[in-house]
Amino acid sequence: MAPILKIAHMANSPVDLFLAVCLGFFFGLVLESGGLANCRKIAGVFYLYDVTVVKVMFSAILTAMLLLYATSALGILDISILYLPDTFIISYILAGTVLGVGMVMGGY
Amino acid sequence: MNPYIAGIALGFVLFASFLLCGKGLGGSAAWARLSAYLMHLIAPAHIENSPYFGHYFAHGKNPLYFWLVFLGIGTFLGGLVSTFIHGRSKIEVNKGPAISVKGRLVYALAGGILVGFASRLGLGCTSGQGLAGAAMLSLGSWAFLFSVFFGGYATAYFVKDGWL
Repeated sequence: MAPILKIAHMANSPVDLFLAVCLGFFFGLVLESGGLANCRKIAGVFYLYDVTVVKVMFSAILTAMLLLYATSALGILDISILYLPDTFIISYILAGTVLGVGMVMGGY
Repeated sequence: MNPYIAGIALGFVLFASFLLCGKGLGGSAAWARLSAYLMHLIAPAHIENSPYFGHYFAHGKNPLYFWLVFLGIGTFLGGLVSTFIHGRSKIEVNKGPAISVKGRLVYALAGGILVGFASRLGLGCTSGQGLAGAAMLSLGSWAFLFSVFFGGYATAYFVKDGWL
């Protein structure tokens, strides 16, 4: 059963933190390879001269979503104990809007 | 790299994070904790009594001993290795053709302050909410994600000198 380390009560153990560095490594590798470390590509989304970021982002969401759904349906992954931030709709709409303003100004 | 391939690979990394550790990938928490750590060096009492940052230091805890900070270290290393692989490792100020380097840095600082504040208000940035939360089909995360596009498109015209 997964999530493996959470079920084994090993959250925040040295193994968990080591895995964080490994996952982060691949996260950074893929983000940079996909062009998401380039602020001109990020700004490109807002002027529609380069929509690479949208392609990467929504392919990633879709891939992870389908894998989460499939493993949950097969009984491999207990989706109910995964970390999920609480839903504060008004705060999130406000936060997302301010973040979007900052993103087009700053580029990240 | 083809953006769709990169996106699918990113989806697999995100899924692996959920499968192994039970949590998604995030980018902003490491910066919040690093900021709190640095502010604590200058004004320890102020930070420890801060309603937001105080709990990072509760019971003598180190704010940097945190899963997302370790993830951030890995992200930096992975990004660095990728720049070497693709032969684009150099120090530069990336900007549009019309703006000066100084102007670009002023915009970057102003934008960074807004993004930093917004990521704390929204409990995450485009990684934690936009990617991880959206893949979990969280309603709040999708509201956040569409608001990012709304904020960006609403502002784009006024800051176009920075990019076009």
